Amino acid sequence: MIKLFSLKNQKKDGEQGSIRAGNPKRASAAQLRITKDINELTLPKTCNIDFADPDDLLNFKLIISPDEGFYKGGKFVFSFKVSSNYPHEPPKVKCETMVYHPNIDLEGNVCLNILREDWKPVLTINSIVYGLQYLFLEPNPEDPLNKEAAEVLQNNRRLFEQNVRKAMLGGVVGNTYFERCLK
Amino acid sequence: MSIETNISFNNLRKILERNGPFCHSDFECGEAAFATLSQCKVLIVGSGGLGCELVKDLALMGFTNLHLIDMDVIELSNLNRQFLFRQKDIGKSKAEVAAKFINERIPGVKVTPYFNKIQDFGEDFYRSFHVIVCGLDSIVARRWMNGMVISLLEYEDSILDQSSIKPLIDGGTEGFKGSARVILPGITPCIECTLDLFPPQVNFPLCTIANTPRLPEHCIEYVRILQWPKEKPFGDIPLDGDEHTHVQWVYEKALERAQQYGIEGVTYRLTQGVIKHIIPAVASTNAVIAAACATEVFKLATSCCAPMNNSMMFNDVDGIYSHTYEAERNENCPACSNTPQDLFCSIDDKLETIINYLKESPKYQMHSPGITTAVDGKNKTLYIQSVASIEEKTRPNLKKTLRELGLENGQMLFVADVTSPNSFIFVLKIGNNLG
Amino acid sequence: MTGVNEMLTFQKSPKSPNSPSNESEKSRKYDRQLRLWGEVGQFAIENSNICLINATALGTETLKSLVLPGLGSFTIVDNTKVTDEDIGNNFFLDSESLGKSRAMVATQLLLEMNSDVRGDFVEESVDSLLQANPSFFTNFSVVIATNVWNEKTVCKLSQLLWETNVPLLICYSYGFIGCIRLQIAEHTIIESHPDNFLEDLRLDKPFPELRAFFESNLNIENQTRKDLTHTPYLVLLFKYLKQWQQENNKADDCLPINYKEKAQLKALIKEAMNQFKQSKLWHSDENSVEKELELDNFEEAIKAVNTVLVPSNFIPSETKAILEHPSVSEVMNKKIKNMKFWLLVKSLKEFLANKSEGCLPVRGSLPDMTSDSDRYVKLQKIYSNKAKEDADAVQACLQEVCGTIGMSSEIVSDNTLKKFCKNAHFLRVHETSAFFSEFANEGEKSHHFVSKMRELVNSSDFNGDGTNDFIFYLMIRSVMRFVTLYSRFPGYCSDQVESDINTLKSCFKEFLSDFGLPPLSKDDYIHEMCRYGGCELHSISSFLGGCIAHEIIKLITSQYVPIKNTVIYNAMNSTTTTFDW
Repeated sequence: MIKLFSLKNQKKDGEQGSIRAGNPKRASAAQLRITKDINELTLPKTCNIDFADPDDLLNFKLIISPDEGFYKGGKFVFSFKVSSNYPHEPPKVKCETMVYHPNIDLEGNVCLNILREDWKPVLTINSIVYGLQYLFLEPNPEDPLNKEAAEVLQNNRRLFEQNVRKAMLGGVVGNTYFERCLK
Repeated sequence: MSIETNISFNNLRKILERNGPFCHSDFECGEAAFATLSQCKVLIVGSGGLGCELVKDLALMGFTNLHLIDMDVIELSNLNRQFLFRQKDIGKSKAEVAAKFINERIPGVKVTPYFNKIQDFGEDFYRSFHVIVCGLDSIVARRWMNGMVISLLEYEDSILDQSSIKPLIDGGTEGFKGSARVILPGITPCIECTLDLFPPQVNFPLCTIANTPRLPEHCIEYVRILQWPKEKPFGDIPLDGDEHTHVQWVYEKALERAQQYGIEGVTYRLTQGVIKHIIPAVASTNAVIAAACATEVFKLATSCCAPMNNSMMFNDVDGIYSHTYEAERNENCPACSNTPQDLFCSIDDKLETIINYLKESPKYQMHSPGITTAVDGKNKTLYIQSVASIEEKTRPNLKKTLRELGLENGQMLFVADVTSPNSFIFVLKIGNNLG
Repeated sequence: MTGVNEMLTFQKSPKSPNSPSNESEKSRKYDRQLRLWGEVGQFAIENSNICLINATALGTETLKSLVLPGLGSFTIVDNTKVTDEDIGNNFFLDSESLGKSRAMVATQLLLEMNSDVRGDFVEESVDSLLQANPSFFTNFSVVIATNVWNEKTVCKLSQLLWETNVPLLICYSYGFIGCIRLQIAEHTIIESHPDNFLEDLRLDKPFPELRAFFESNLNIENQTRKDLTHTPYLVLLFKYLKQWQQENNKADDCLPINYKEKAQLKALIKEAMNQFKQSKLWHSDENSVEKELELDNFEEAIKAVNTVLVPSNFIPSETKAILEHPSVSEVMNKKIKNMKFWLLVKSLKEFLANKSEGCLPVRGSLPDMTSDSDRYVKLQKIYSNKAKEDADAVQACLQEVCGTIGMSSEIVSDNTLKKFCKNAHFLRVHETSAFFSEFANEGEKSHHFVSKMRELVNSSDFNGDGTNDFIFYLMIRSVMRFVTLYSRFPGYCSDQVESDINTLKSCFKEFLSDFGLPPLSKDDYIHEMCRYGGCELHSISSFLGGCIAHEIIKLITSQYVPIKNTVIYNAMNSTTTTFDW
């Protein structure tokens, strides 16, 4: 059985009293995991990832520049916030670029299953990057966040394409003004 | 003052001063076994439903040197189970009120409170305890404590030094269900090994919340996630589940939305439950689980019985059901599976040299290792190749020596590489030839 | 929460308007438990009174977990004075209480925790009360006896409360061992809160409104992608069930029952899903990849084949037994215990025979599923309306039943009736044997108990290397015999341990022979009992106290299912074992 009262312990006991704040010498499980995720990122050629502070791997931006589909030529920035409960909890992802898209609302909320209901600890940052990239290739009008955009996509694909262009060029679609986000 | 002069521990003495056929072979009965109780320094993490019970249980099991840490203050809804708190204590520190209560009620026991976050303290603090018991409702805090006790492990020639083990006893409850487990870091499964066992947080699809709500919860989440940040009814502040006016606002808006869709069941209580992720809790389950944990602390401290191996689930919805089982270690556990490897090097070695060693050494044969470390408690990325923006900023490090990078003897390096499902941990042994 | 792999579910509180303006301070204080047993359960707790015999650590720990949630009142019966040892293991006796009445101090310190609770104490021994004023005990909702080791006292108490229908819990905390025995003549439960249950969705025999809904939604082939992906899986299940019936020449109300048939139905759904994915491909761009349909609802339907296709006339065995219980006919002739419950069962029986072709009232709840709001809410209304209709029909039966025996049906409230119908699949009647029937020399010895004892003693895991915890029941009983004979615990004094081992051994032998059992060699256990010497460890009592308190809450709220009937706690191995005899 494990002995709680070995000599070594007693000795160390004497040293206590100094209550010093500080992190353990070992990184947190979340930190170890995100390091692994980041080191193993294999970004598609349309994606770029930017760390403002290379020492802070928990906060970064993803830039997607689609080279095909409705959003070809646009540039969309997503912010990632990874909590200390990663990977038990998914990262919080917001779209910082205003975009006319059925699955992204005007506040930047993103409807992607693996960011919420289908998140599992085995998924990685790479999985999310690919998920987001796919949203631009294949917007899903059946489960929309921006209902107006979804309806247009469903009923008049030509108009939808025009609206996306207009928004990306910087212009008003519906009652909303979109800032230019063409590269 | 010695405890014997005040109250009699005759009940405990029978157990500790007599030998029995089922005692653990390491058990040495007698006065010394009894004395270990007052030498044993126990940390109780969390002073809520479980923590209040734990501090009482351990004090009455003969432990006199108890330490209690909790960052929270007392709320009205705690009083149905956190029995050391009264109406007049609302708003005060849980740890301080609980410690004062026990110190006054049970002579000879000294409970030291810490009105702190667990993260406020470092390794020296946690190393000073013999056993740590957790009564927490937060997974983050559990994982942090788990990481801490693992970081306290010491290895000599990759062999675990048993005296560096701080047993962690972890209890948890939810309604009429609960669990207790004994973690011997480095030996038995840790929190990260079995992270999958924690129920995932309920997250509804955003598009359902936004467009096809069916449940009252969908309506509440709509207001919480989408409407609140947009309408900012009380200015640009986060929603506070304890602020009645906030909850009331969410409740009314959610009710409105529910009526629009013909959905029934939005109540104030449900609204608050969803906003605060409230987990139902009763006194009885907390008493059961805390007592199970306290008994394990007693076994570990006195060696009178083998500790539970290693987990128990409890549920008293239908009769009284419990299941005691041996959870298994995860051999790829990111927290406890990798014993730190010694990395012999010189303080004048360049980072580049170290990386080349990791790539070329027949033992590791890494492909493109990413290396981070912690300096003065802050994370520092030494080099990561795969991400251009990091690579650019950390490239200058390659040409720097360990000394120039501020690394010291005993420093830990965390190394990730595609060739392994896990990160490696290396301990720098400076003053040697690389190897 | 650790280890418990259950999704968090939010309990919905009863339908009272729940805005904070009428949300009292009390309701906020009890919020975390109201989410479990509701206002009705809380009301029952606040109106119950409990008797505790002996303010031991086990006793006060039990009361602690009842005082905190707001018990109505308690009374402690205890004629002893506080000793050093008491203070050492009992949180509700402080160091200043030495020599004072144990009942008094415990009452005061327990009441200090919660001003909503009333408490009282009687400084008399259980024996003298049983002698002088036995009716004293019959006024309580539940009686808890701790540390009552004398066989004669226990039997007398058990007999008295058995005859007067007062639930009794007899509890022991002895070294590392605990024992809880519940004795209750008849306890009826409407809300048993099962963790797992089968849905009640009537796909085999849909009632007219449900059938109409299904039929108006069956034509999914012509739906838009959006409507198709949001068709509730119940519709899909119904549609392919019909197809399966036709293809296999099955009757209109036939469900797949075995693995093979269920696999056939699953395959049908899967095939349809794949066809939809093929036919409803949609090209977002001439050259780009094809966007596949996400048919979560089809996946849900496939999973639901195992859980949702339950015959409408399925009646769980517990409910079946309740319908055949003698009380169902007795309730028509005389006043019996749990009158309201049995009137409801009688009415339910009438309903089954005359109004529903043998199907229990529709439960009225709909599991969550992928759907658009409109169809989900419609479905929900269809089920809840039918549940209401069925409840009305049961109400009519109740009126008739009550009329026959000259009673007003108003004795059963509307809410109770609705709850009864909603829980018709989960009803329970809980009965245990009498504790005194476990005592050989007390006349009527339970045959069931004797045969169960024999069975356990002869079981392989009792005699093999690992002994099962049944041995500790035998040990507790042997200690009772010892205490009855010698008025002290075996091994109480250190210098007596060795000699008491032999005495306890003969008590054990005697006890076994009372039941016609051969002597057993369990010397280690005898030794361990003498080592304990009657000591009570706080953490063992606290574990048991929590368990006992919740058993009492089950009894007074008539929610959840109590133990049946003996639980042994072995703290050395951290295990609990339940024995039913």
